[in-house]
Amino acid sequence: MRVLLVDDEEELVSTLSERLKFRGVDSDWACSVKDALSKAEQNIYDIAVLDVKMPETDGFKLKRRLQESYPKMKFIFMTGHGSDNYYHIGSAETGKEFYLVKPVNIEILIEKMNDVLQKQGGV
Amino acid sequence: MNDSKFAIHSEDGVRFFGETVASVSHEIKNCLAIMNESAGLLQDLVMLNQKGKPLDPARIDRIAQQISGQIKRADTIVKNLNSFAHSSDVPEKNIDLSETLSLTLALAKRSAANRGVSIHLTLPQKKIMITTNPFFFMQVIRQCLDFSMATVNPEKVVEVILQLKEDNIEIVFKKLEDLENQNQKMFIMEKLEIMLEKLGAHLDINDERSEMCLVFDSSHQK
Repeated sequence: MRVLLVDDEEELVSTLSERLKFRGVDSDWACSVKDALSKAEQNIYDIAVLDVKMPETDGFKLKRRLQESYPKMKFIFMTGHGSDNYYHIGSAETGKEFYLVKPVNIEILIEKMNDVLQKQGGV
Repeated sequence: MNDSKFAIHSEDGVRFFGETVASVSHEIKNCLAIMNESAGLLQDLVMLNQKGKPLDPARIDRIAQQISGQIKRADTIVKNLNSFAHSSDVPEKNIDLSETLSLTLALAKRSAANRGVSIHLTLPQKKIMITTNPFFFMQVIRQCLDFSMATVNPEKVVEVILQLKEDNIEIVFKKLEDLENQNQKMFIMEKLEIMLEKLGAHLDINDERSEMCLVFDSSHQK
């Protein structure tokens, strides 16, 4: 499984990426939309884990852009933004079980990654 | 004030409070998430050490510094939130404008970052004190900032300057665009009408200079 982590909090994604590697999950990280799109162009990712609120755009728009170019890519949202509105949009995009609120337990995140590869088959 | 104006004014105040708290809680969640991963990484390294991989003290020190940095960051955010919450304690208070303006902009930092906007603040060397309603003052500044971010130049930089000019206190929002749009002007003027009246301030929007200026006359200074 190869994963792209996208969040403007560099310390969060870099540390999470290191911890995922210890658990056998190959991951890269990006802190901007530009960097995320560039990494997605250079590598093949099975899953993108996206922050919802990022400078200049939101995770939903980034998801649609990635999905357009890489239809097989699966998505999980990880957010500190707990509003009902975002929860409904995020749930509609990925399914509510893949809309996670920070801080997230890494074992649960890996479980969700395995699930999303199975369950979002039609997306 | 008629009933409908009062209702809009009250709704705006509650919305400002809610939006600010939501944004700040988002920031705190990010700090917690980083501390969560950093603590988890320490546990991972200890577990690897138990399996025979040596611990690197410099690496442990870097992780500890990362946690400590996030604690400082969260502490500043919570202090700002606390100051903001207490801004509604009394209807009138003597405030240091540099301090309150800096606090209001700090609370808007996440919102600005989400729009890709940088805010440059210039403060005077001399302290300027005024007696005013702190909550309304912060609300007006936030509304002016939101308007400025919506009309910002292509470089996406809003300059905010606090200054004394001809006995008036001015808070200038510079580098704005499309200020000749009458609808936008009407919108902000109507939105701020009641609060400006309460604060005894007025707003000048200058198309040619691409700026908006919030003016308090010298009678407010104490």
